[in-house]
Amino acid sequence: MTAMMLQIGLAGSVRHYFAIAAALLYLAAFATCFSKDKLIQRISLILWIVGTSVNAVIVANNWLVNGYVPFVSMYQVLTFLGVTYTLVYIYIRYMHNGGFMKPYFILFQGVIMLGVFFMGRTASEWSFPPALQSAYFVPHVFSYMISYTLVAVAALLAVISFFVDSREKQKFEKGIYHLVLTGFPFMVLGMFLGALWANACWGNYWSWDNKEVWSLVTVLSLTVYLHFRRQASLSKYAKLFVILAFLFEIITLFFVGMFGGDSVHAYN
Amino acid sequence: MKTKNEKTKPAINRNLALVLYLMLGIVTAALLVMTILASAGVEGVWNGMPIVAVLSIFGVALAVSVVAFNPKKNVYSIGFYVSHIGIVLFLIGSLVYAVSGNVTNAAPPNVSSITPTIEYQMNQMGISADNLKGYYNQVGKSDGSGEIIDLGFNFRVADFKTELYEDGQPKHYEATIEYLNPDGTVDTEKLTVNHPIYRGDWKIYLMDVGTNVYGFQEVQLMFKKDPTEFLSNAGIILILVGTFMICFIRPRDKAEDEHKKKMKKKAEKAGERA
Repeated sequence: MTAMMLQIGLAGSVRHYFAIAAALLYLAAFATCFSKDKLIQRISLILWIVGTSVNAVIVANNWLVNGYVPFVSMYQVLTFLGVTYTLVYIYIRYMHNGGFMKPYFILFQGVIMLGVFFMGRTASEWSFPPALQSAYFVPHVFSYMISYTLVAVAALLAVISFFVDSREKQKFEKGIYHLVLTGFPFMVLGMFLGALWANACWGNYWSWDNKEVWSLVTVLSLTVYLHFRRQASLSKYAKLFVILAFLFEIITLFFVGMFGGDSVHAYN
Repeated sequence: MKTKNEKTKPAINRNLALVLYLMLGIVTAALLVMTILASAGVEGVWNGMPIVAVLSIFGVALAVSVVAFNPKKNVYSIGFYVSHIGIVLFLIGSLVYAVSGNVTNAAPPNVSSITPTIEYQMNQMGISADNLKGYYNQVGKSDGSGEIIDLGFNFRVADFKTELYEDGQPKHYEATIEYLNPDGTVDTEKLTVNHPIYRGDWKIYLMDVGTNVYGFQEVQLMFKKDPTEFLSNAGIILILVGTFMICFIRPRDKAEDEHKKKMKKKAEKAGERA
């Protein structure tokens, strides 16, 4: 059934229902995952897996309908970002023992898919302009997606860490460090792949475009976090820069693209 | 054999590190303020002395950190050098390009779009279409200085193809560039968006296409000469390799190690007491 629907492309209204279904499944998984009851925990896991699957169906649809990796419009990027959270969580869970971070990953997925739901029914189909037809396009955007995912969760942990007891705080701060340590290189990769691409497309590595400088400030904020953390007298201020990096990330992703005037990165 | 002091010696002297980290904080804060100003529409933020000063502080902090770093035999130390030297190389490459690089735009006609009708109308107006269809070896500098740049080769745009999507949006642009060699032979090369071509010291980019008042196509090209492009590219590669080395192949979190040591000592003490 799903395969048939994908072949013809999901109708706008069906895709719309898939988006709200994914959002509700994620939020239900978030609401139930704090429970200590094993049965409820299992239900939460199932809700999360189903939510990710529904989200993945929209991504697959966007991919098939357009014929390219769906990273061109904000709608496509956010839909893909929803699935990215699950992939990144699996890595963090097994490589950095980050099981306690699961609710925060799921919360972001729910919020993102709610955003996708409110973006409208006709936002899926976009043409693929010549400037985006580059080998740098997919790794550039995907690197940023991975880093944005990690920084968002790290910032949330940083905020929560102000309100927990000292034992929990230590766990949270270690979690923030591992998230940033994993996300930072991908953000740097995204930025410099963008620079190489810009040099191939526009003949300039860097043009001080609004989106570029906001992303530079985001990278520098994380750099400050990683450096301040090494110095005893500065380490207490370090995690503030993770929260700032998340705020700059939001500005880079949403506000510059939408209201950035003559930004070469503006979404139409 | 290393002494205990050498083993516990910090990567950078603590007081110096404090100064360097604060310099990094100041650079970040300054760039943030400039970014906010630029986003608010203030003009010239990235052209004046403030950005030169900020980049200079950044460059000095980087250079000092590389010189003052006490390396150890681990991946972190190698990653530190690779990434920090990469940033220095990238900054030097960008600086040398800003001083000695050359860039200009030109809009030569697409020769195949000058139809006999257009040619006739232009001739009626006293404009020689034959001149337009000929080869170019000079371009005017697009910075308004009036300077003429000798390219060192003869070229023209022989053809231009445009593919469109059903909704009229552009799908593919392709220009055919023809070079006239000194021996009279002609070479052709395809030029597309995102795939610049090299000719002599120049790199040629396809930027855009448009139709002028006479009805034929003008192809927007950019000519760029960057003698330090290899330096900038090498810098980028080093930054990426170094950053991944530091973040992914580092031994373990220092705090985590210290915590484990403390726990081990506690357990040992408890064992002795028992």
